[in-house]
This record gives sequence, C-alpha cells and structure tokens, in this order.
Amino acid sequence: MVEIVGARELAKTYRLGNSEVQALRGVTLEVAGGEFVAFMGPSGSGKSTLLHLLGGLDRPSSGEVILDGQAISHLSDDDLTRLRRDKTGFVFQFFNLIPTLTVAENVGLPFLVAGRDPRSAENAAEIAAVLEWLELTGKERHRPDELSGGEQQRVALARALVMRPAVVFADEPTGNLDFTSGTEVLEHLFRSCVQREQTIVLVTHDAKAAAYADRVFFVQDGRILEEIVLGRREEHGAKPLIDRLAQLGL
Amino acid sequence: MRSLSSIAWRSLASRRLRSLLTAAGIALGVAVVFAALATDRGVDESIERAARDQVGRADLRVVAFEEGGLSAATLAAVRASEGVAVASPVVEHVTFAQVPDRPDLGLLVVTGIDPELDVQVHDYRLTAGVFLGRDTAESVLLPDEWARERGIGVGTEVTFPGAGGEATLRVIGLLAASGPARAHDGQVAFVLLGTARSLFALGDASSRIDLRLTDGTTVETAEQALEQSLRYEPYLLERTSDVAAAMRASAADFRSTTLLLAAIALFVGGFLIYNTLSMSVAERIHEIGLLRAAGATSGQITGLFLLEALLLGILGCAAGLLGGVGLAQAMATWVRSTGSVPLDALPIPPAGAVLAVGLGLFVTVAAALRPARRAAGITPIEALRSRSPQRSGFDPRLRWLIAIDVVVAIVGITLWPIATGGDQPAGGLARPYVVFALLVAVAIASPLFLGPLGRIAGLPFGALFRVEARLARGTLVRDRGRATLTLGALMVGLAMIVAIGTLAQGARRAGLAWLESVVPGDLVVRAVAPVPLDFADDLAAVDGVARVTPLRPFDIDMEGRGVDAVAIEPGAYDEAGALDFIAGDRGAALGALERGGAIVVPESEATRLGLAMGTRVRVRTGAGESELEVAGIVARSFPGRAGEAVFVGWRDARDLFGLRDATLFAVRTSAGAAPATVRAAMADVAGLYAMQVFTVEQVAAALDDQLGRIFGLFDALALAALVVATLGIVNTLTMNVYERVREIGILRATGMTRRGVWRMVVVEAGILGLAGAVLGIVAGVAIGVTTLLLSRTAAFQPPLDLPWPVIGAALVLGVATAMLAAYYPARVAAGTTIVRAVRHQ
Repeated sequence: MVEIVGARELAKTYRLGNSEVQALRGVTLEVAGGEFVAFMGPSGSGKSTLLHLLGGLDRPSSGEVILDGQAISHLSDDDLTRLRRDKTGFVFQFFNLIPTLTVAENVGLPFLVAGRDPRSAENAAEIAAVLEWLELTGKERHRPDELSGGEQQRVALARALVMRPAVVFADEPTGNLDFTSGTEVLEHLFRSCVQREQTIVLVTHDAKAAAYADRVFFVQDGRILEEIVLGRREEHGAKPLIDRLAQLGL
Repeated sequence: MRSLSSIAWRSLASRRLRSLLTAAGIALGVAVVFAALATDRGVDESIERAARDQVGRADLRVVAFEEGGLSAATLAAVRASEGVAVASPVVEHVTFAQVPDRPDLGLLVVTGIDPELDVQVHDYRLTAGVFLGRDTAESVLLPDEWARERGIGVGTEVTFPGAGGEATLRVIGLLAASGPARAHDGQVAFVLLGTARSLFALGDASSRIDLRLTDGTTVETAEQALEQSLRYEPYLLERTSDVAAAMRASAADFRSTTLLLAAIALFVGGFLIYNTLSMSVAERIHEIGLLRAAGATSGQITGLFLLEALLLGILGCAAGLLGGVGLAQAMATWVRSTGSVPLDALPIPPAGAVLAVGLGLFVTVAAALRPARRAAGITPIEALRSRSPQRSGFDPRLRWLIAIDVVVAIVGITLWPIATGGDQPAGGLARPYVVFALLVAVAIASPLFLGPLGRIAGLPFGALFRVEARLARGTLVRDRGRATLTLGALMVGLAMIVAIGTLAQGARRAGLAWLESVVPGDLVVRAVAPVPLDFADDLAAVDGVARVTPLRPFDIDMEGRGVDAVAIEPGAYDEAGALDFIAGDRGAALGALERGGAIVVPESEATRLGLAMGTRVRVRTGAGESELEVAGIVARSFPGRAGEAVFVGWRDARDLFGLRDATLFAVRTSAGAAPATVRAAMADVAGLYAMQVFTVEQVAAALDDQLGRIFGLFDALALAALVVATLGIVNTLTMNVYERVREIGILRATGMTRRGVWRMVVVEAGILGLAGAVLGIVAGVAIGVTTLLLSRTAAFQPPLDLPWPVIGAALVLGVATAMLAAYYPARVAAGTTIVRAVRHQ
C-alpha cells in the first residue's frame, strides 16, 4: 500500500477574538492510493479542518501533511496551488458552480485554470466522458440555475473528477441534498474509487454516507477517537458501521 | 424610526469604504456644481460691472464711426432732442505718456470730458488729489494703480505727444479702480474736453456722447427722436443693455458648457448612488427579511434606505460644498488665465450653495427611491428563502435613471438663472438638452451591446490572459443592470472628454482656416491706435518683405443699421489667394472692390441683412449717402463688434468714409525669407509706433493656446465626472468580489493562484473599461459632431474630423482608470481564504 495522503502530528489552532481554539490536536493517519476513507464526527469536531489541511486548502499550525507522496507544509502558495490543481479534486456541501458558465464549461474549468484548452479534442472527450459517467449527457449547455440540486452536485463532482486527480476530497457533499440525490452522489463517488482507482476522502456526519468508505475515522475534539475498518462497500452495507458506532456509544 | 435610524447608521458604518466612496462621489458632483455656479455668477457680475464701468448711468450712447467724430452740430441736436436730460460729449485718443527718467510708460487712452456733465453720467472715485474743474486745462487724472506701478503720484508732470507738439500736464488726482477708470484695462487718462481737442487737433468733434434721459422717457422714444434729429454725420446708437448683452453673448457658450458639465458630474453621481444602494439592497436581503418578519412595515423599510441615502447625501453635500469653494477658486484662476471670459472677483453665492446642495440631495434621494422601493417590496418569505443576492432586471433601473436625468436637467436648467442671479445666456440651452438626450440614448442602448461589447473588449485581454478573461467576461453579463450602470457612468465621463476633444479640434481647425482665409500674408502688424497709411512703406522697406497690406476695421451705417467693415487692398487678397468665395467670381469681385462702389460680404452678414449678389445697399457717408453693390459673398471675414466685417476696397474707404490710417498690416514675406527672421527685422520699425509684429503661426498658436485653456477647463470638469465613475467601478468590483467569494474559493481550490484571481478582477475591470471607452467614444463623437453641427454658422465652419489623439487617450484612460480602480477589489479577491470562501453562504 502506497501512502498518497497522510498526516503527522497535525495540529491547527484558530484565534477567536482573544482566545484560541484548538481545532486539531496532533492527528496522525495514512491513506493509501485507491482507498475510500471517511471522517465522521459531530459539528465542531475538526473533521472539515482535517480535510482542508489534507487537501492543501489550509496550512497547519504544526505537524506535516503528505499529499501525493510529498510534504506540503513548506511549499509556497503557488507550488501548493499547482499541486492541488494537478493531484486533487474537491466537492463541497454548497455546489459552488460558476453561474455564468454552462455545465460543460464548469466541468472544463480545471482545464481552463491549468492553461489547457477545454475545447481541444482530448479534453472535450474527457469532459463528455465524465458527464456521461455522471449521467449528465444532454445537460452540457444548461446553466447551473437550470439544474436540480442533485444535478448541480453531480456537475461539481464531474468537475472534481475530470482531470482524473489522484485524490478527491468531498466535504459534506450530501449535506444539502435529499436522500435520493445524496445516495446518487455517494454511489458516483464510490464508483469513481472502484472503477477509476481514485482515492476518496469524505467528510460527513451521516453514518449511512460514511458506510461507503473502506475505513472510517471518528473525529472528536480535534483527535481521531476511533478508526473503524469496514472493507470494501461491495462486501458490506451500513449496518457494520452503525453497529460499531453503537458499541462505542457514538 | 429612531431604531431604524440606528440601523441606517450602523449599516453605513459597517460598509465604511463603500459609504465613503459614495459620499465622495456625491461630494465631487456637488463641488463641481457649486464651483460652476460660483464661476458663472462671477462671470455675470464681472460683465455687469464692466458694462457699468463702460456706460455708467448713461441710458444711451451716440458713437461716431467716422474718423472725424461727431460734430458740434450733432452735439447740439442731441441736446435739443426730446427726452435728453444730460448729454456728455467725450473724446478718446490713444497716445504715449512720458515722464522724465521713466521712458516706458506705454500707451494711454487720453479721454477728454466735461467734468460737470460727465459726473452726472459716470461715477469717479478719487483716492488722492482733486477732480478736474474749469481751471484745470493743464491737468490730468490717472488711475491710481496704473500711476503707482509707474511711480507717478499727484504733482508728477506727464508729457503727451500731440498733433501740434508735446503737452505737459500735471497729475492732480488719482482714481480708484472703478467706473470709467477701469476702461481700456485701466490704461486711461482723463483731461478736460478742451485740452484733449486742442492736444490732438480735433476741432469741436466728439468721439461719443453719453446720454441720460429725463424721467418718463423710454429708450425707444429717445432713439426715435434722435433718429429724427441727427442728420449731420453717420453715428451709431448703443443702449446700455446692448453693451452687457454683447458681453454676455460672448461668454454664453462658456457658461452653458460649464452648466452642462456640472450637471453631468451630478448625473454620474446619480449612477453611483443608484448602484450602491441597489447593491446594498441585494446584499442585505436577509436582513430586510428579518426586519419584515419582526414586524417592520414596507414603509419603514423604504424609510430606512432613504434615510441611508439622505445621510450619505448630507455627508457628501457638506464635503462637496467645502471642496466646491476651493474648486471655484481654482476654476476662477484658470478662467482668468484664458483672458477670454471676464472674471475679476469670485463671489460665494448663497443661492448657488442652496441649489448645489438641493440638487445633490435631490439626486441622492431620487436615485435611492427605486432601490428603497425594491427593498420594501421584498416579502419576509422571499428574503429568508433567498440564498443568493437578488438582482432586478436592468429595464426598471434605466427607466428610473431616465426619470432622474430628465428631472435633474429640467430642475437644473430652470433654477440656474435664479441661483446665478443673472440672465441665462440665450440660445445656450439647446445644446445641453441635445447632449443630455444623446447620453441617455446611448445609456439606454448600452445593455443591448453589453454582451457583444464584452466579448469584443475581452479579445485583447483574452490573448494575454485567456482564463481570467473568460471568467471576467461572464461576470460582466451576470448582473447586466449593475454592469450597465457602471459602464454608463464611465461612458458618460469619457464621452464628455471625447466630445470636448472633437469640439476643441473643430474650433482650432476653424480658427486656423479663418486665419489662412482672411490674412493675406505671413506676418500681422497690429497697432493700438490707428497709424498713417504711409507707414506701410516703412514696413515694406524691411528686408524680406514682398508686400504690405494695410487693413482698417471701421463701422458703417448700412440701410440704417450699424455694420462692421474692414478696408482692404483687393489686389493683395487676389495675389495671396485669400478669401473663400461662395458666391461671385473671385477676380471680378476683387476687381470691383479695387474700382470702388462695391462690397464683398461674409455669408453671415449676407444672411443677417438679406443681401445677395448684385444687391445695392445704401450707406451713409460723410458726404451724404452712397450706393454700394454686393460683388461677392465669402465664407469668413474678420470678427467685428456686431458681426463679421464687410470688405470695402481702400478707394471707397478713402473717398467715401474718409479713412487715412490703418490699425493692422498684413505682411507677405518674399520667397526664401523666414517669417520669424523678417519679424525680428521689423520689430524696430514697428516699435516706433508702438506696433506689435506677429507671425501668422504666432497668432495661430495664441489662438490655439486660448482655446486650449478654455477646453482644458472643460476637460478638467469632465475628468471630475470620470473620477465619480471610477468610484463607481471600485464599488461595483468590490461588490462583485464579495458576491463571488465562494466562486473565488472554488477557483482557488481548483488550482487558480492568488495572482490568477488578482488578474481576473483586474481583467474584469479592463474589459469594463474598454467597453465603456468604446461606448464613450461613440457617444462623445456623436455629441461633439452634433454640437459642432448645431454651432455651425457661415463664419464658424469647423471641419468634422475625428480627434484621433483624444480618442486614443480616452481609450487608454478608460482602460487604465478601470484597471486602477480594480486594485483594491482585486487585492480583496486575491486575499480570500479558500476555507472561509467555500463555507461562505
């Protein structure tokens, strides 16, 4: 197992007025390539902060983050941006689509930002493929406000996947969706892990969503309270996780 | 309401930058309006004062237009005329003044008066010494300032060269700078009428007679009576009001243009306020919903936003008034430096302050009314459900802006004369209306062009920054209303700069064309006082001179009307190919002038007097009446007092009008001689008669400089509108950035660097600037060309060429201004933290 994402004694402290809040208190973990991991925990536990640090969106107060095999804490802002662009994809609770761009243009945004022409044959084919894969064919020319919430989140997912990043970070991707739409998004995340061998790092407070993961880290008070190994989703449902959480009194 | 006012204060305080920018925009608009009003008032008062100084308490003035002046018989007839209470004869003659050991005193207009009569018409104020009396034949009064500058005081003896030798007069009094002492720019000396007549061998002639009428006599009645009784020699009747009206007419264009530009600055301020408050409503939709849910009525919400606008307006107006005083001083200094518009003192008109503040508050509150009503119309449910800021379509906004615009134009133009306390320049208001209409038309049409313009304007940026340009372009069409308003403000500012450039170029070229057309030579020699015609021989003897042509402006009585004329040598005009004939054959017309009994008239006078080729006109001459035939009509002529001058050949000028001297000489240099070299060689000869020599290029440069100064002031006012527009761009871009925090976050997460985000906002501004500049240039050229067409007369025929340097400058200015305005918003955008951005709701 090759480590693709990792944390070493990761800590993050925020200033809140005159006081300090310790969001993370020395987290250490390893995620292997092609793995699906989930961070669970109550609100304010530090799970989103952990995802942001692992994805290079934020910088730790101390400790080290490993992304695609390299320590990123000392990278310059530009180098970190380039690494993020080439190796990661992000999905957030709010769909964060650009309202003035069409679906195809939103999905092709990472190409555009990377200085590649989204309309070149190769990239256009990649965009078409990911849209088809996420069942969005026919919506290419729609604007985000012409789509349902589930469709918008699938467009956001397509954007995260289009460059075939090594790691996809998903922060509460179902938090704003109904059950059916949420399940569709989770299924697509899971399929991208299995079929495209992409590493998925998911943050959720929903046990049913976390149950798609191979491993679940339960985060509380800025620490990893429990690591629950579930194995591939094809071999289990949500029940083992729910049982284990119940055993732990969570 | 008290609680709402505290919300209004807090809201303004929490958006400090935006509030300050908006207040600054209002302040600038109010400052420009106030400064324009104060300057206008100053110009009006100066005209009034100058007219009063010139005519005093006289109701009418009989002026001689022949060299011989008005005879004693005419004076007696005037005195005997019905309704005349006082008739004060005056003699004026230009000469040098000399004091031993002080050689360069310069020229003075020696004015002979009858002290007992003239004090009934003019106010003389002594600062030292005594006034003229019956026994002061060898005395002179001088203006205090002129005398002191030259070290002359009461008791100094001053020598004047006269017709029969020199005369030495003792200074017995000094005059304050008011009334007649301000005539001829203060270069005037007063002596007894008899002293002046004998000194200059004028017999019993008078240059003019100033009249006061008896109580109950109207000017019209007196004019009729005078026309019945004055039969001895040609004369002109001038009314007091005519003098002021002529001065006002010359300053009318200047005054109406400052009015227009000031109104435009305020108009652009309206754009800024409207946009700011619309943004505020969109941004605070949740807050509005909460207030509505908590029981605030729609009236209270309207009141809240109007109150915010009013607070901004009061702040802006107060700052604008203070700034306006300074701006008015700066404007006055600049106006004085042009030398073409009278302005000797700058008043601070209370009515002007009230109008400027009133207009400022009116525009502020009017611009706020629509956003306030929009806010009041939001239901609690709509507000609390809405996650993204609300946007309204651009049509209602534009309708509202048009309404504001029309009201501002009407209110401004109606109240203007009241605030300035003077008469509104007649005929000067059509152009402001046309300009306003054109600006509004382009503003209305601009949303239609926004998409295509954005794409075209994005091309040059796209070539350099493809990603940033693509994203920026999208942002511009996201809220077309906001983009249109921002673009509109920029467009208006730039349009005015381009329009002024078009007008300035037109005026300059028309001026040069006029010079080339009417001056048959490379040099112009100008005399302050008429000099003998044979002086032309002295000038012709200078090395490098091919031909010297004497010119003499004078007045003639044509069909009972005063007409300006100029005596010319037709052969010189034929040789130089000067004069642009639009009717009649050049050779035949100039030949007729040479032979006598003919005139060549400028088109403007032909139209005014109803003259055509072959028309025979009756002119009054010293020997009675003569008939002259119109032998040709030309496009341009020399400017006169009432209109353009009619060309008369020297033969008629001598034989019919008794002219024996000239005030201007056109000198043509011989081939190979440089005009500047000939000018230097001619300086000594010309100096003998206190004449000044200019090359035509120098005259053109002086004209160019004077026009440059006037148009420079207009440019400065237009720039003020551009500054207000820039504040609007800062506001809009900042709002765009705040509104797109999550998008910026996702772009950063997707791999866009901070520099990329910074570039995106700057490119967005650049596209906005370029689109605004293109629209501004189109509107500016349309306004400039239309104004030139409206201003066209037979005499003023500016070519309708595009001012390419100004257009280029406007393009660069528009883009650079917008990109500079983007500095702060771009910094905010680049500094956005990704984590905070993606969490932002």
